[in-house]
Amino acid sequence: MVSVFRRPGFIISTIIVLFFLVLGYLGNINAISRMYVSNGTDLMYYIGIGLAMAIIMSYAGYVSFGQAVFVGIGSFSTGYVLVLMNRSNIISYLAKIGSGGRISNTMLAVYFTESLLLAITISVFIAVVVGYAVLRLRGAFFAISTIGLDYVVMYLVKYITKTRSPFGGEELLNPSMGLTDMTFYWMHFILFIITIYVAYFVKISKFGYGLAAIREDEDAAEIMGVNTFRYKIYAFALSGILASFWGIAEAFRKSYSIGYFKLDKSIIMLVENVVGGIGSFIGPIIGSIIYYLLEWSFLTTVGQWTLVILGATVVVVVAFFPEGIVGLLKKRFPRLRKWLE
Amino acid sequence: MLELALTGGAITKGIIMGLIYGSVIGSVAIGLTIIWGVMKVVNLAHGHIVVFAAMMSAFLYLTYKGALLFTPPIAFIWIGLLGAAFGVFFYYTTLHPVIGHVDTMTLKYEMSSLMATFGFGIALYGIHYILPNYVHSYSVNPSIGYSIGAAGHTYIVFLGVVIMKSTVLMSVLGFLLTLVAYWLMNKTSMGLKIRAVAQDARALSLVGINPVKVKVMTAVLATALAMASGVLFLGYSTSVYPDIESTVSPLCFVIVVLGGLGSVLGTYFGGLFLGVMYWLTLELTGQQSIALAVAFAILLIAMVLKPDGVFSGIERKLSFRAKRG
Repeated sequence: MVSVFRRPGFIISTIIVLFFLVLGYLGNINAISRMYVSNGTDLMYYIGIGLAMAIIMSYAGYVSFGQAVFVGIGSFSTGYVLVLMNRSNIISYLAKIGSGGRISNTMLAVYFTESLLLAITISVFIAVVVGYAVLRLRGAFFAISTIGLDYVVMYLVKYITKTRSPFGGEELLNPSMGLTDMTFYWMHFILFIITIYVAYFVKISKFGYGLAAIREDEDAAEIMGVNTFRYKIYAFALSGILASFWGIAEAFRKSYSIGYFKLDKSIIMLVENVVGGIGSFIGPIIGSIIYYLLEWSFLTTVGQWTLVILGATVVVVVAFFPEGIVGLLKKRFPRLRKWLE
Repeated sequence: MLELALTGGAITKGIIMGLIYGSVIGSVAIGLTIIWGVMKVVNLAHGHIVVFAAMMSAFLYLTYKGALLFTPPIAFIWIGLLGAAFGVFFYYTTLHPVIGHVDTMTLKYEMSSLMATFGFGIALYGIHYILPNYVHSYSVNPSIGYSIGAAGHTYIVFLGVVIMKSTVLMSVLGFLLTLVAYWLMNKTSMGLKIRAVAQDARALSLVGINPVKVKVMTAVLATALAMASGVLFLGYSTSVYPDIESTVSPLCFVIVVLGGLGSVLGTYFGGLFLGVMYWLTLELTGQQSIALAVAFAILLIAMVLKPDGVFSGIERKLSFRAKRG
């Protein structure tokens, strides 16, 4: 048995983490480098939601349209903590230290932890309660019922924000905290480290092998002694927790909005997994990077045509590379197989 | 906290408005039930196609200052026919490369067709943003151009409920569209072929019918119905914008699941039920978000308790009675 630290997946994820670490240190030089920092923040977000989805979709083979509900819960938790609980605290603190100030690191850490705890609690509660009912379904039926889950929670949250938001309506705008892009970058980075290593260690653990068995043949897995139902609930909850992290990260940066619950978010996670290739750990990462690069390059070159070209690209990829990038690479370059865990 | 306004008037209004809304939204979902229930393609582009048709017809209606040809009650017929041509385009660009020569749909093909239709959907959504003179939303004045067969006032009062005449007209047209779809699917040889290809494509080719042609027909029928009903949706809601897709599309999924996959009449009744539940909640609580939450909670409950569809039996019962009669 190869040591965990010498396995290709671990090495690749460490390389990615180091890349973001170096980018963070080199980033704060001038305006152009800070643009790359902001790109890096977006990229971490995309890889993060891709890996969160991977646990339920790529590892366990259950396609969920509703993982965006957890991203939404995460962003709502942040909105709740920053706006509904602590808005007046932040404003009075900033007024005390004068203009141009920023909130202290202790305060930031407290709000961050509070958001994490709130998001984890709600996510686990929803994943276990709803998962207990809907994880008995399979295939497209499970996928559609998660749409229902997503929209039920979304409209309930909409009702809460409508009645309790200090701005009226559905908005929960973060109070200005004087934070820079670099702060947001390091907050993303913390969550990124957690996400990528959790996703990897799940993949190579006994739990991960159980999920793989469920993906290949659920009935056979059950006969072989895998407690499939419990494993599926764990996977659903874990995937939800990781997805909610990214809602938190983005809401600190861009404020809570109802958009985090929208179906498009789930579909982006799904596209990343399918483009990369189902069943692997590297697949969703490659898929996320490709998705992000495509979206970003189209956005900067073709402007308003982005959605049209992106849609056409997805159609072409699905038609010609149904196995995903990882499947294609494995077929074409058998030597790479060892590296494509 | 929520305050319930439990009065007779609210309940009557909820039921009447719900039936009108349900009839329209039920007819919107029929295109999805055909392509998903029969061809096993989870068509994520359905909502986009519906909204695309609505946007297009609103644009034409406003450009030509409400000429009779572009009023929703007339336009839904020819935009539906245009939708048939659009369906051929949709099939050959999106579905044919993925499932054109597949005999039985496994989960893998289901997922790749889902992805492909998603790609087509966002491309269609993007088209709204590249058109010249782009407007973020269109509003159609309901009092102009809907006067066919309902001259005079824009509103009628029925059982103390004020109803817009145009919405009644749209719900009646939605019902007629449903009947046409039911007739096409259950009483013609085309419908028979479409249902046959879903069961066994290889057996169909054994008896001398080209399965690809039948798949094209399915996509054409579903797209034509989607575009026709999109115009009805415009006539009902009188204002439309690209982002309304994010409400229409999930509601269609709820209705199709309630109605049972592939059952046209079941879907229509699912639409009526959902419409009534939505409007009752809206009238009783006065909160649109709670009403929509209830609608999607119905989906969750229906999926867990009765994944085959709550109203799927209706079609079987009706056809049985028709045979005996």
